[in-house]
Amino acid sequence: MGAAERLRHYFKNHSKKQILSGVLLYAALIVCALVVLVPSLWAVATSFKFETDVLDANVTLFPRRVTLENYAHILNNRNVPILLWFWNSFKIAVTHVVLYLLISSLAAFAFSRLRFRGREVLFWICMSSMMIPGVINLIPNYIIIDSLGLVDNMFSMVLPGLGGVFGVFMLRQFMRGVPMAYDEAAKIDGASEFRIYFNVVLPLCVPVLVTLAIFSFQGCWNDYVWPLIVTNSAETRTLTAGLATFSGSYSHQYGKQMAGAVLSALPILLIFLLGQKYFIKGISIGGIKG
Amino acid sequence: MMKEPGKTASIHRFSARAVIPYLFVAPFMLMFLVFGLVPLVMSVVISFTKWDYASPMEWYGLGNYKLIFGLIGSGKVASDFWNGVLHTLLFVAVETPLLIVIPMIVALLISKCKAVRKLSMGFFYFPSILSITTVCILWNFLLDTNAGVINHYLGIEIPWITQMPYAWISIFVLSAWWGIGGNMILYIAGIANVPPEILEAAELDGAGAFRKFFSVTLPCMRRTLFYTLIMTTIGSFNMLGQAQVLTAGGPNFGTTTAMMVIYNTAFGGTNNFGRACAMAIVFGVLMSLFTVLSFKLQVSDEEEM
Amino acid sequence: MKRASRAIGLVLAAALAIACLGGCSKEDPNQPVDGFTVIRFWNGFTGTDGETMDEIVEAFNAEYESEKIKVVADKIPWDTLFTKLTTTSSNLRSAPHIVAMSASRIAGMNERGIFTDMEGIEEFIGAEADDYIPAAWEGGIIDGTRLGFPLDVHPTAMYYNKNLISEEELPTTWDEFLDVCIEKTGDGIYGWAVPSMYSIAKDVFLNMLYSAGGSMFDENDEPIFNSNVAVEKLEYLYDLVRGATPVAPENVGAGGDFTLFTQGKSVFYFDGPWVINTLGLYDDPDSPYAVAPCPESIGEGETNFAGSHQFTLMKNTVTTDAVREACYTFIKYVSEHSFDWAKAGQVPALKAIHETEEYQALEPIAAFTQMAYTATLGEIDYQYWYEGYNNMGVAVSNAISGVYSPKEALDTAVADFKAWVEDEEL
Repeated sequence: MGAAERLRHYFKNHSKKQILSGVLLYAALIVCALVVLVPSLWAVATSFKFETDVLDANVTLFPRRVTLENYAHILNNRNVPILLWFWNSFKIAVTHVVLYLLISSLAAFAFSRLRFRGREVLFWICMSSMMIPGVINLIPNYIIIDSLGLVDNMFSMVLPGLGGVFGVFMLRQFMRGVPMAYDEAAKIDGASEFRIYFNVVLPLCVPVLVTLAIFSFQGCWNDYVWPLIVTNSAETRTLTAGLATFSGSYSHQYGKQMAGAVLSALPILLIFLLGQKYFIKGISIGGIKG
Repeated sequence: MMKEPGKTASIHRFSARAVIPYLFVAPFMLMFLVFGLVPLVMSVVISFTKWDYASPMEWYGLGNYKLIFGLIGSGKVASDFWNGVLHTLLFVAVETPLLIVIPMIVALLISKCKAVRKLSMGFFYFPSILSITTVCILWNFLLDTNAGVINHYLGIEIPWITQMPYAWISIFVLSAWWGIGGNMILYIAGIANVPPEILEAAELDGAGAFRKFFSVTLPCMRRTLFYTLIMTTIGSFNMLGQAQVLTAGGPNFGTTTAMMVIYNTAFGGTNNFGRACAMAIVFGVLMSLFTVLSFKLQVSDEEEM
Repeated sequence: MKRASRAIGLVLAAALAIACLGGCSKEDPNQPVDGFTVIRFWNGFTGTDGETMDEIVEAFNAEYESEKIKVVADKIPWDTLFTKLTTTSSNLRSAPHIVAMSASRIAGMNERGIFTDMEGIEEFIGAEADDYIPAAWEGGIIDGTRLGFPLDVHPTAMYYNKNLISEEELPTTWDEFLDVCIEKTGDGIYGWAVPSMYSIAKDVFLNMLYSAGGSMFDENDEPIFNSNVAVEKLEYLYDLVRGATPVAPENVGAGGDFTLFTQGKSVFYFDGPWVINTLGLYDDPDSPYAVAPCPESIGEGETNFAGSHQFTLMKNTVTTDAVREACYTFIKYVSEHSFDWAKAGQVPALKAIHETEEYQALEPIAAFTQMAYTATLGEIDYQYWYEGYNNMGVAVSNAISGVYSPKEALDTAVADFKAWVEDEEL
């Protein structure tokens, strides 16, 4: 069906009031989107501008002359092993996300659906750790990583984040929304706790798992202070950390800074776009009705 | 380890099965222990010492805490810290509602406008994927008083970063812009989960859009809301990058937050790590007070239902 | 409940045991790797200077392969470097041997006992005080001990736009500077867009303060950056922005001064030598920009404020004579090969470099080199100098952005600093 035909169809089947509210909704969305979009566009557009145009007194949103110079500069810098850093970041972030989803969902399942002694106490201890500002953990965590002999090892960037509580908290919140009737039905069929977790609850949590995956991927990808502290060589660095060691070359050079930012944001954007269709659907795919 | 030999399973209802829940939490708890709890315990211990990482640790008793409460010393440490706490509270008070309400409005709009749903989600989420340093560099450029894009287009000369209260307004706007995406996704997922039957039933009862939102959608999303409220609040309490990079805590320490004070105490020129840990713990207690309060609210809320 | 806590206890004990076991195995930091003495060198040169330093290290490694010395350089942004340095100073496997840092940080870091005295380095290199820029040479000596060996000096000089001012019109005194600025200001053009944040203005302020005979601290390490002469100098800066005839816009933020300068809207711009590369002055002979020494900063009886990068050696890792010698060899090499360092936008501390033809062909660095000879680094052997410097910076920002009057701003900063020191020494 063509767009015009769809529109005609829409107008035929809706009252004037409905059409009006529809138009208003779209208008509101467009206004909001523009406000949010302009700075983002600015960032992307700047990465395609010549440096002299960026600082030109007559500012324009879109580049007057498009150039790939900024990207070429970063990609061709022989001191920036960008592919290696991409690969490191990717390896670390994916390992982290997979492990994090696994252990967090297991724990959240127990915290939300199984009864055991000490459940509340354990959960509260976990939650309370969120209250202490994370920067303070920098030094103790370094001491721990060091004593485990993991300095300059990719696991020094994978593991510490796994102790983070927000995943368990998030999954627990959503799992509590899944009716216990499902578990009980499965139990009657003789399913073990693990089967219930894996075959019943987990599929229902796909949207929230995807969301959590995006959040933790992004957190892992964008962190640069910790990777700089636990790595000693350029070869083990992540992209964000690696680019930070070159940021000085690009001070006052907004085009190159934004090109670097866009390059390092691309993978997250990709993951987001891939995951989008899952969390948009909601838990209803599992057929849960109130 | 939970099974006690010599007692029969019929007396103790927990037997081998009782171990299962612990197996579920064990992998996470191990990680939490090593990278969450142990550092926390270490921080508590360190808060009673004077330590700059390099020199040997020196026991200092309650000295750091006394400094923070202005009981000893010149009162400078206390005034800096509480000045930071005050600014953090201001940020939490303004930013948390913004980051709860704006993403909710956006999520509702996006859920209604199905034709452009995916595209607009991408637009709204994009700022969140940038690192805070990038965000600050970008906005610093946009907000510059004389050469900035925003003043240029609006034809005004507002000192967005260098003067009060604009510095705070800039931080609020920047943080909202940066933070819409995360909560928006959670809300969209939450809205998708509202059972359509209930909405239809409400419609048949003649409920308008607002009524449907407040009596159906919102209650159905209370767990999501609770989560975002807690996480947004904790996130706001931890605000650091914006103040550090965009305003450098200025003008005249007007945007210096508690986290910045803690960070600079720990990693600034002199590395007073003991003092920073004590600050973090005092600050953590303040944060906990709020969170416990929220939990209590949630619990009573659920008992009602 | 009881069992749960017992379980927690057990796991806790196990985790700690693992942690301790790991920690017990300390390795010798100076174990040769494949027969090579490996020297770890940390620096925070994240700009063009970092790329140049990498090249110098590479060349060194190639040349000293036969002598089995290998230097591994690690670039870390300065902030993180100091955090990392203090965390890892006791970790022998990853701690560095050589760290490049600003001379102004040495005294403070030295309080933590992380440095080793660079005894014998002068004889080893064959260096004498006369061979180096005086400020840099002195900057490495803290309380009579050589803790740092000079690499470079970086003064703050005056960039100008040739389209807006000719070389003949350039001011040589601050009074002339004001006159020139007043004359040039108008039609959307400013003299100098004095920034009020992250401010280079504080370095210009120190330039003026030291060349007027003032200082940050007196001989007893008492802060005197609110002295009459300091107030007078800050009032001068204040008047540039907020006086009767302002020559700068109000509220210039971070980077705003540079933007206005490159937009051709301000005649002057003050910054360190690294901006030579940002503006592309080495490569572009037709550039509209050039750089000259600050007013009242060079020549007989004048002085100016500058920073200096120094090499330092770490106590925990430089434990054997072989390693120490390898470190000295590297420092000597960099010092003698620091011509490229000038191209990276720093003034090498070794005078001999300045006399080479190729160096003299580098026009833009000349202003900085002239200034470096008369520069002072300030009272940097005071352990809290760096904090005092930051406090002074806040005062300059506060005055320029109109929060306080210059006198109030400086008095407040001095009072804050004294209170801070009092707490620090508890």
